[in-house]
Amino acid sequence: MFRAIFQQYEWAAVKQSIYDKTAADVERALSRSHRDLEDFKALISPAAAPYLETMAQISHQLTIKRFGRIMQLYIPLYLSNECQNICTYCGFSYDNKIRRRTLSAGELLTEVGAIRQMGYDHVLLVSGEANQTVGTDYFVKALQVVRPHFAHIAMEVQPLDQEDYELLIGEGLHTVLVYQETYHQEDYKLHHPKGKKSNFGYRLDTPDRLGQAGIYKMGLGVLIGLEDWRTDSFFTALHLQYLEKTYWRTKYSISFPRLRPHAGGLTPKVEMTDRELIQLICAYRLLDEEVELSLSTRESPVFRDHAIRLGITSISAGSRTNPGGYAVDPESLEQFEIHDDRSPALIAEMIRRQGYQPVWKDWQ
Amino acid sequence: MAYIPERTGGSLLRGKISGLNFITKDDAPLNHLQQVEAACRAGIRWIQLRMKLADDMTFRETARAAREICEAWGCMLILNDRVELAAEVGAHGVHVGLQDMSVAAVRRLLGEEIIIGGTANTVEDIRRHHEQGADYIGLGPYRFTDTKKNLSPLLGLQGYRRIMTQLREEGIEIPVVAIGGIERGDIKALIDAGVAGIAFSGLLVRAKDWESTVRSLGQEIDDARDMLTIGDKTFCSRLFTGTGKFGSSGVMEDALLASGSELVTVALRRVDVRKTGMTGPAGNGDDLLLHLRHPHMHLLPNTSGVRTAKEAVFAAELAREALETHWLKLEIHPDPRWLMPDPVETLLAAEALVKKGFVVLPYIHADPVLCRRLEDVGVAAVMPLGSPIGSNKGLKTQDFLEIIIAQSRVPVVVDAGIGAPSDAAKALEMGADAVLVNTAIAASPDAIRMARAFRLAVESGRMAYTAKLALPSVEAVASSPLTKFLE
Repeated sequence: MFRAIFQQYEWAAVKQSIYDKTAADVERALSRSHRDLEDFKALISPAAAPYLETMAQISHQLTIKRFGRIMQLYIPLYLSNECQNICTYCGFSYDNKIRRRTLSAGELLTEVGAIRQMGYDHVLLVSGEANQTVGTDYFVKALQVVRPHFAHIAMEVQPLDQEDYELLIGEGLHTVLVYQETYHQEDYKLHHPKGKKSNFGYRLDTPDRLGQAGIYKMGLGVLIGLEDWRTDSFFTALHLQYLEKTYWRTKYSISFPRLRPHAGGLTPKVEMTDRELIQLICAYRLLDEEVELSLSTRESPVFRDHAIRLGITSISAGSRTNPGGYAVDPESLEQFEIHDDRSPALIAEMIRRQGYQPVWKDWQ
Repeated sequence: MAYIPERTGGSLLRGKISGLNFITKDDAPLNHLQQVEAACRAGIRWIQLRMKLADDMTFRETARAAREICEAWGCMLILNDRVELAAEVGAHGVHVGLQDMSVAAVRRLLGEEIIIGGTANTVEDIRRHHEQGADYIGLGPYRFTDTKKNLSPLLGLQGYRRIMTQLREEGIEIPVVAIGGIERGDIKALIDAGVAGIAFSGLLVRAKDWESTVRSLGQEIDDARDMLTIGDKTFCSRLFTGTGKFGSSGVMEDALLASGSELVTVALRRVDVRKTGMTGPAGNGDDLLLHLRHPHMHLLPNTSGVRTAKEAVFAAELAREALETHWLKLEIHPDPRWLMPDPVETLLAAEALVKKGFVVLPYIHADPVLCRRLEDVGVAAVMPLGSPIGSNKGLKTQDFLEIIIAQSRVPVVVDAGIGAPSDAAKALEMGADAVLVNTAIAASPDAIRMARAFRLAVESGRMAYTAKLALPSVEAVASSPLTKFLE
């Protein structure tokens, strides 16, 4: 279990070691053909800032070598905004007085229709955590509704037990995204004071449970802004490397959600600049040539237009972050504010203009 | 005839000199016997019984009892001085101080089998002990201590660095144990200076919890010594060797000693399993095992010659019985021409053998997926080949080895095809945990010299890996910038 490895690390010491990295460490990391976690630390450290263009060039080349000039498109489909957790940064937080909605089978099908209309063949099902109403039984039914219409189905919902994952995989689930939010245990407690999600360890073990259940792909990440992003990213990379070694049949992806304004209104504790986000994306690519890197519509159009050449392999477009947002109830409250609201067709055009091919289906 | 090793290769005791030595202490909370018992229980395997105040009668009785305790725990017992009692109580060795009988005199008195250590404070002391046939040196004192009353000048870290450098320059190879008031924080720097081990006395007898203290000290020493752990064993040497193709068993033995190797693979088919393992009679004089009776050498039986998983399991059980080890190098090559390992049968056999309690080291192609499948069934290490066995072609599989090394959860030992010391160094530089070399040493016209060359190459490669290799400089950046939009 990753927990045993995680416990050998101390946040403050890791953080210090990242900030202690020098230009020489960065140059060393840049010149290697296989990079390790110490190199990754150097590449995400402040010392790497002057080397951003070099990192970008290498990241660009590595990504083309492995993935080609291809950009995978995906779209989230919010199933429900019901949630029993209090998360200080989330619009769906239990203590937010918003109208709650969980899609019925009929409503779900309406949303599916709208998404298919946009051209998508991959979908990401999203929910809050309300185990009574939106638990495994609900997900099984949702998968049964969705499965005939999509080639690839991913889920970003509450952590589940291994048996639940096995059941859902049997129903056609291919990918699960589960973000640790932060690997800073004390801060995690601060941001998740109530609900099942306040159990740090259970969440930390989730990728292990997924691996043991034999999931095809899983996505990791932290919510950037809760804590020092460099240290949190180191732990994400540590987690990634452990998982790649342990559950080696599984594919992995990384996302980089930056805190955006929402109904709850948490100001990020740590601000991450655009430059730093590019640095992080490139650092991941330099560490790991195979991992998929994903970018959501949280980011600005100009940022996304450039980022697709720097290591990103999949992006979303036309996203709505509220249940029923595509057709059933477009005006309901969203989980977070979209920064790039261009249509999928426009995004596809932008991708093509840069010499890349937008891919809507890459799974069967 | 028992082989008497030359007393010039420090490797002789390298594996055996435990990194963590304990010296018993007068006026301590526990008496000497209690200290021996506590030390053994806590995991110490090298104890020096030092009783400066006791009369001969008391010493004799204590030493006898200590010897029994050590015997039960598999611990080496060294007597401080009291040379005349060593044989009588059956101690493994004696340690003589600067004012005691000379090493040469002790050697004459007690013969070649006994371990002799000598106290030293200067390079001259070490040189003299070494010339007279000492097996190891206790060098000190590091800092002031109340254990030794008549104190030589304190050495401090600088003193150790100076002396160890001098020894290297003079080509004197003998294990040096640091002693005298050493604290936890001193360990890494001392090991880096080149000492083989560290002796503790006061620090341990004052400890409330011996076991946790010994565990943490031992861990620190092992980390500093860059030891390799596979299964239940820990190795100083990352050069594993084989026993085939040597011109004679005598040459084999000399070469293996010169290699410093602590893990030696033996083909089960070369061993007469009707004898009771290592204690069997010499018979026709070709008993391989008689030449491998050195405390630092562990045997790694291999199943060379079997063609199926079923045959391999049978051979493994035979080997466990005959050689009294549950370690096994799993080799299944149905093809007698190229001796290519059969991946399917190897995986099947590995799974069965792990379940039967073997420590399995499978010899395989440099196949990253097969390595993972083998890890999944619980092998202790993987042994991918560098090039066809016996070909001396070096690391033809380098690209695949790099993948295996990058993703392996168990030690990676590059086996087969290593033809030159530079190949071995390259493998270690790449991050392989160890190499296994047989043909390149055994078939050399001067196997002993070649064995030493490999030893140095392996040490050099590993050292370069841990020191982090310099790399080619970063390529020039292309002209159309990708990050200009951020300005």
